[in-house]
Amino acid sequence: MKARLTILDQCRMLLRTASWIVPRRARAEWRREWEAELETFWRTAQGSGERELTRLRRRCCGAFVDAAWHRCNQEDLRRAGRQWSQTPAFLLFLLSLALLLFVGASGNLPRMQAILLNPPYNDWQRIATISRTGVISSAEWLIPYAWVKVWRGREPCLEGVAAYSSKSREAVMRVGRERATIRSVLVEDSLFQVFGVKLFLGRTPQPGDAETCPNCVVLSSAVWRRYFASDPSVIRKKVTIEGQEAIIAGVLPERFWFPSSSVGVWKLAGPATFRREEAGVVARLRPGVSEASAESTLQRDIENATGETFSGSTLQVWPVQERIRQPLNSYFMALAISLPIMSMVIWSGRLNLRPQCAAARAFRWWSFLAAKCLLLLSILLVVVVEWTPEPYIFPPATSTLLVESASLWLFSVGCVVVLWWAFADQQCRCRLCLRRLALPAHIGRPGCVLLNWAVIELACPEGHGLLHVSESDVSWLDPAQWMHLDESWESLFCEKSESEVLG
Amino acid sequence: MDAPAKISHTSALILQTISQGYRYGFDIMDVTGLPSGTVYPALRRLERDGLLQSKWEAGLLAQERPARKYYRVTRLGNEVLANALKRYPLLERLAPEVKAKGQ
Repeated sequence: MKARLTILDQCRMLLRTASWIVPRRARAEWRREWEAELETFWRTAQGSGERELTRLRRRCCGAFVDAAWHRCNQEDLRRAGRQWSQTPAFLLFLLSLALLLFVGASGNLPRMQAILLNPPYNDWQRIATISRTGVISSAEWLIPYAWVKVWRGREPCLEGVAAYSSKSREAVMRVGRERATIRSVLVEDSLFQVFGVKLFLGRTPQPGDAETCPNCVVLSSAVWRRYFASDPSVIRKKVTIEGQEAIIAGVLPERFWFPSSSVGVWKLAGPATFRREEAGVVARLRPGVSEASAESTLQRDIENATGETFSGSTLQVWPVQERIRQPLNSYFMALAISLPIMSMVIWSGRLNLRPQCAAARAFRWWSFLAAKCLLLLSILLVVVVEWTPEPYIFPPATSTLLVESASLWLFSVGCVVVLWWAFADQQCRCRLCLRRLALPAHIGRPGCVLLNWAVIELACPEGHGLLHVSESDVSWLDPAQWMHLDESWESLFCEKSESEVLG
Repeated sequence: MDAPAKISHTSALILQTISQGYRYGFDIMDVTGLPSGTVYPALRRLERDGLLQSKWEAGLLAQERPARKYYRVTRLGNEVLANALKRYPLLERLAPEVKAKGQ
């Protein structure tokens, strides 16, 4: 008898434990049903053998599966999901997740890092690009290579100057049997000396190296790791680039990039290669020389040496870091323009964003709006920077206006769109609990002309208030109106458990 | 509510058992031999889909046992069961009909 009592107690304990899995609103009824079955079985099983008792215990273990079904059945999950999707935490979670996904998809923001981190060049404050600017101030033109030779010969304000081809191209590289498509760029052999960069493997190329080794190339660290398995004896090895044999002269340090982060191979060339071309130019200024004085000195040198009059254009010496961060400045400018536009829309009363509640709740209200806008703008910035034409130290086209305008326009329009969406979403949230309003109800009757309803009323799922939104605007100044509901309304909206309702 | 086009063999077996008069969860287990972890979730699902209806026994019971919850097949459930029996004809022979079982 003692053993039987113990089994009954065990079964009751199992049921009690399993009942905690069941959602609270269904728990009492669930337990009552199982205990009634248990009691009935126990009464009829009096005098039965051990086998029946084991069967009973096994059945009570099955209560956990039943309880789990209650917890995880689709109806409950759907309801819980619907409730969670209305909370401010859900939206912030969703936006954070989207931001993380974009960061991950971009490969940890390589372009953003290139823009925000200091350039990977020795004493980078003195490195600058030299270009011509024209009638349109943001447009830039390449420099005739003959000018580079003038500056190199007698310029006292430059420590070094090097040219590179502005046309980087996709090159097919063969390493043994492996075939890879890598972006390559033609650079003067003195370029790495101008940057003051020390190669990770091999000797830093010097002026004149291209003549002694006409097919020499320098690899990026990423290409070396991926296609040469970080082989330390890669120097002097032969590869085939676009059908021509080339010799690997060195491997650059990991963070080095020029003129864009996608370039993996630099082909070394001498002055003879650039003779008749126009090229991109980078220079290292002597210590203490300002950009303005360098511009006037360099321009005067060209005027004296070649007779160039610079009518309608000027020479521009642009610090490389400023050049890299220039797109970011444009983005902030676009944001600075769109913010006042949105502020005017709010100020005009078109959107009702007033929290109409106590200071603490108002702080929560504005904090949520700020966090939402910040996350949305961050996503937009990541998308624009990482998925539009990448920032070049000197653009591959002849005009920065064309290259940067697409991303700038995208960002400008995107700013207005995401801010409008953030504000519209904020308007449709409860002023107390910040949940998204639901249960839309049409008020009045459809108009004769536009066939839309006069008013839609949205309610807080917790019963805190109603939002009255005019569908057919009487005038521009016809904002949505929020109406607080007192606590007596809450029971109409909130789902209470059975025991709570019954008291 | 629209009737589900098809129900599983287990659901059909449980529906058939209830329609034969075995209305309590543990009785269904005895007749079908199915474990409680299968029978009860199936009962919940069938009730949710409108094929079953559950009720609590009312009033004081002669045996002084606690009131039990019993299940009965709805009209929709009978239609679905009739369709299922065409697909699983052997089900009709599995459970003997009970007269005056339960309430």
